[in-house]
Amino acid sequence: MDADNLTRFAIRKMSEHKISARHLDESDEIVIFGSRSAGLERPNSDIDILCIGRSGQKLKTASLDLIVVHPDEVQKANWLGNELASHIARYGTWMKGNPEWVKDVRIGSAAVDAKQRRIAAFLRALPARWENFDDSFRQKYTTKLRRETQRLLLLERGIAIPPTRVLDESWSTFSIANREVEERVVGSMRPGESRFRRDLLDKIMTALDDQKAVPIPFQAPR
Amino acid sequence: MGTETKTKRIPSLKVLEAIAEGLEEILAYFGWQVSTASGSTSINGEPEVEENVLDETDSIDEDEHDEGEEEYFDREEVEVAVDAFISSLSASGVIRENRHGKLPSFGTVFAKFFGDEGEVAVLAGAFENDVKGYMGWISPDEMLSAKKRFMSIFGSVQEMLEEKMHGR
Repeated sequence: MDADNLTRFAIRKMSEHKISARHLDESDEIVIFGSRSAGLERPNSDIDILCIGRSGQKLKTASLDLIVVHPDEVQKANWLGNELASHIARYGTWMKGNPEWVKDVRIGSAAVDAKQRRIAAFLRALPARWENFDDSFRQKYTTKLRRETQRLLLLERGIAIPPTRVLDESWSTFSIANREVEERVVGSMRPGESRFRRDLLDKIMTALDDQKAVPIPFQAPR
Repeated sequence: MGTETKTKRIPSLKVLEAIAEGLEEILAYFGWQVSTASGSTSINGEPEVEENVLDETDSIDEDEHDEGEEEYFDREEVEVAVDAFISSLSASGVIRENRHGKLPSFGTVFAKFFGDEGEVAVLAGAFENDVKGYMGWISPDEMLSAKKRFMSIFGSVQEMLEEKMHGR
């Protein structure tokens, strides 16, 4: 989908969700990001939109994910060094406004630390629940921990986080060995917890090894 | 408590007990507080304090809040606890997978037992959205809102359970 069609699609979705024209008028910037902006959407993919403005409310539905950030916030180090800002700066399609803050985006140590803490928190919380979890949740957290570990490895290298589909289908794009993902998960685990460890690592490695030999083609907008 | 709506329901005592027990386990993960007197929180929703400061403030009593102190929680632990709650309801036969083999979400569980538009179900759906975040990002407002909503859900369920147990 080219930028014009993408913009039309975004306006239609916002209109369907009764996002008022006033809200759009009052936003300094409106940016489409995520899989649709990178041209990697699936038929049922939602559309992710960032509004930088002084008013408006976030909205999260199956087909539209709208986040609102205050203009003062995007000038701050917390935003500029953040995982989401780096993703939007790299993969965003601007519908409105000028992306001036983008030139100041740098993935900071705070983003790396936050990701490490998130992975550690899951690995701390999961073992005690693992045996009693429904299978669907075991699968959910296996996928989540794989993706978050992939994101951590990218953040540590100063690489903007790509849409999730790239992590799932085109990990080889980044020339980071599958084994490194496994080693990072193992390194964050506590000793013991044998079933949890075995399940998690088996499923993570299977998902990575099963990726297609030919990665999906993806072209970042900027 | 709460506003009556057309689709508000109260489930059986057995179901209420199972839900109340599960909520109590989740509640345990909403405990810790940090000082945000400077008003500074990171965009990741993580308070900008060193780890050792968290440890020190971990045991602050509810009544000892300073002005400017806000409450946060470890949303990963809450997410895991919520999924354990759903697994437990499924294992005890209170809920079942849908025809696609998927278990209901937290919000859907409450919609099923308390009615689509019941106050508790609406709160549960909003709570679910609050804690999701985006790409590891969650705003401090969402963190606070999630905690407030969970507390309201917990309080309402406890109240309904009391009423049911005492036949009121």
